[in-house]
Amino acid sequence: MIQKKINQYIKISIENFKHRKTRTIMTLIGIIIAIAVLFTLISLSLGLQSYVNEQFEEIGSDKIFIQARGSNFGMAGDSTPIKLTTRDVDEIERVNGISQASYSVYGNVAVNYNSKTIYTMVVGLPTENRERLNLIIEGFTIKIERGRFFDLRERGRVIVGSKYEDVFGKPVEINDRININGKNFRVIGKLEPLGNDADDRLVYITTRDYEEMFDSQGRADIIIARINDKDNLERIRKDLTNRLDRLRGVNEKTRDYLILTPEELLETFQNILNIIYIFLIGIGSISLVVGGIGIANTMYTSVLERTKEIGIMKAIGATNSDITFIFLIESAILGLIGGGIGILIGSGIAKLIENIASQSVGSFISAAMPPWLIIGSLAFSSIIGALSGFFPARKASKIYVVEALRYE
Amino acid sequence: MNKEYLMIPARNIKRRGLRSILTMLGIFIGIASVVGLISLGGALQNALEGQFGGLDLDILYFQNAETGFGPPGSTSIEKITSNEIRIIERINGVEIVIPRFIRPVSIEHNNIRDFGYATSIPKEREAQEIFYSLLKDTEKGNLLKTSDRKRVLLGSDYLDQRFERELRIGGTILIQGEEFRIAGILKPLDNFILNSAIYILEDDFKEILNIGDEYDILVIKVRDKDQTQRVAEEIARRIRNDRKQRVGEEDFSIQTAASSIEAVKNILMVVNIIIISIAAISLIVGGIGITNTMYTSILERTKEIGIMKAIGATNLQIAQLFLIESAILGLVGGIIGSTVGLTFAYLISFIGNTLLKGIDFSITFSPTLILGAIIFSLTIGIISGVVPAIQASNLNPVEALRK
Repeated sequence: MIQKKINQYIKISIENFKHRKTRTIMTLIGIIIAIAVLFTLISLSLGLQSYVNEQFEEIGSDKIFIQARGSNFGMAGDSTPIKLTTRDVDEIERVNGISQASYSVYGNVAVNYNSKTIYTMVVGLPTENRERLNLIIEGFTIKIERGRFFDLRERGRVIVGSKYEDVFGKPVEINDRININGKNFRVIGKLEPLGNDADDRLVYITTRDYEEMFDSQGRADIIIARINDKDNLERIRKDLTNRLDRLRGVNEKTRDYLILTPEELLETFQNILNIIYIFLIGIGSISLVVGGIGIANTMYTSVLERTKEIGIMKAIGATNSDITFIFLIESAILGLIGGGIGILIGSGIAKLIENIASQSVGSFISAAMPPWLIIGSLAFSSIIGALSGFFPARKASKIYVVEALRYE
Repeated sequence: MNKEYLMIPARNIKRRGLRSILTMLGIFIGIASVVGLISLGGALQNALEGQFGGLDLDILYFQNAETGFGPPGSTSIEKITSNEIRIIERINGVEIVIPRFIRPVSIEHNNIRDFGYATSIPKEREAQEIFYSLLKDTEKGNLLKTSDRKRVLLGSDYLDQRFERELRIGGTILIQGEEFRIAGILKPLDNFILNSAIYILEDDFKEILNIGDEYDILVIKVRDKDQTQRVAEEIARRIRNDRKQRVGEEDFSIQTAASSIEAVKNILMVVNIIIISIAAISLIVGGIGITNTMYTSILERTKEIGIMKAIGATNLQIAQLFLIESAILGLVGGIIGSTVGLTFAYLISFIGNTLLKGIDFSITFSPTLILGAIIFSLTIGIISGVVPAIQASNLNPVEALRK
């Protein structure tokens, strides 16, 4: 019974659209544009979000990072006010629940090749034992594209980021010699792209070469520790803090280092991203409000034009709620169709942006279109349609039969 | 033009009541958001320029090539030497060269450790005066004198309770573990970087951070601001000669205050354009709303148009009537929209100024923007009305009267 009634309502609505083709199409275009814009924005936001999540998943949740406080002013290790050392690394390895600790060092360098110089950062990777080297490679999520990583205690070798295909006018090849801060290094490996320009310009040498270059005996700028008992993270953190506090002679108020877990890093990052999304989507929603007003306007017109029709329907027994439903369904259908076409166009635009971006800025901008987003957008645009039609529908239902029939 | 041309459309708009209001609301929301966002973008730019301490046309910055992962100058590979400072000082037209350092440091007091930026105060009297003119005055205590040793001047941020008790003038704090006596605390300035920094004399700075004969960045004041460009070229030529470098292969850069914020400004502009474009899409949707209303208006007034034509109205006159009607919708929407948008922007800037101390987040009232927005909205109204108006003017009077 209800099913039949709804079918009837839908039929009346479609009949009405056909009668007012231009107006229906114009109203639809408004909603289509608005939904397309919103869909594009949300799709790209979700894509970026999942890229960020993937990056953190790759690091692995079994690792924690220890860094000197104050070093967030700049990555460059030698200009931070507080320095951590390999003594701290060794101490961290003694913590119950931590299976391995490793570290890396950073410095600013001039890299020369093919008579051209660029300025970038060098990363020192520890090669005193295999475990430390592997842990830091895993923590940085760097992967070899060609060549190999360092052998233990190797000297005078360098691994370059993926950008070295083009920064010097000709690609840097395996076995080429490049000059870093006046010292020659032989290239043994090239990395896969990490996705952002600054990271892909890094060069990697061993900590022994680094210490010689920067006279930085025993410094450790970033320490990574692998925990083998994730459930006891809080106990491990406490134990670690106690040991480091004692070693460094600090207390709670003078503590000069930070312990970060990937989850915490991810959270900070997501909070920033969320603010940006909400802002952009908020601005994108303005169009939807305007589109909704367009629907309301069309529906009011429709009610006025069909006053007589409504009067007749009521005269032959239609209830107020019947009339309300006819108009609500009509505006909801407008929203639904506008949403459907809007999603198609929006997904096209999002894919287009993804393609353009992957060629110019990097692979981190991608369009995500999970089923829930598509269904959600359809439902949302129908609801916007129905909401916009609410007042006109109520107005229609309250029309007096006698007056309506007299209406010209 | 006959007054009737305004009367008839105005009457129609009035007659449609609620529907006219809805149509204008569509345009009004779009205009309000665009005007609001452009004004706030301007405020953001003002705030940015405030952070660079005014754009003095007679100031040059000399800096070596760097990786840019830290404060200016601190990450350069080659440091600037005092010999190079002497070379620059001898150049004709250079009034004074002020070497600067900006480095992150640890600050400790009451057994609580904090981190911040330390900046060096030049020792020469003249350079010091120029530097202090940027810092204005102290809230408490005094500025530093060249003869002072192991004394520090604190930015206004240190008036807070970060060390769980107030800092006293004459009291001590530890900078990089070294004891310093507090000489003064500055008044809050329109620049959060200056407010959050601590200031120590150049010699103390070099001592506690173990810096040899090297400098991070040079601030060069030129005697005649019309000569700034020439002096910059001359500095580049002399340093190039000294370092035996060819043109185009320099490992240093010379920037004017304006050019150093150019990059940041450009990024800000791109962001602004993206945001405003997204907001402007709502104007298209609003314009379509006007077109729709006009179509409806024609349908409802077919008979009226027929009568007007029957008693001698030309096609042009009919088209004009409808165009004026849609123009009025755009115009009124634009006027209300820009007023509301501007009010909204002022409100946000007021809140911003109250919350963010040390940042001048003020809106510059721009008549061009308001006028532009209203004209733009008027244009949207007219464009949206063109097709319906032509359609109305082409109605066949005989058929129209039969409706």
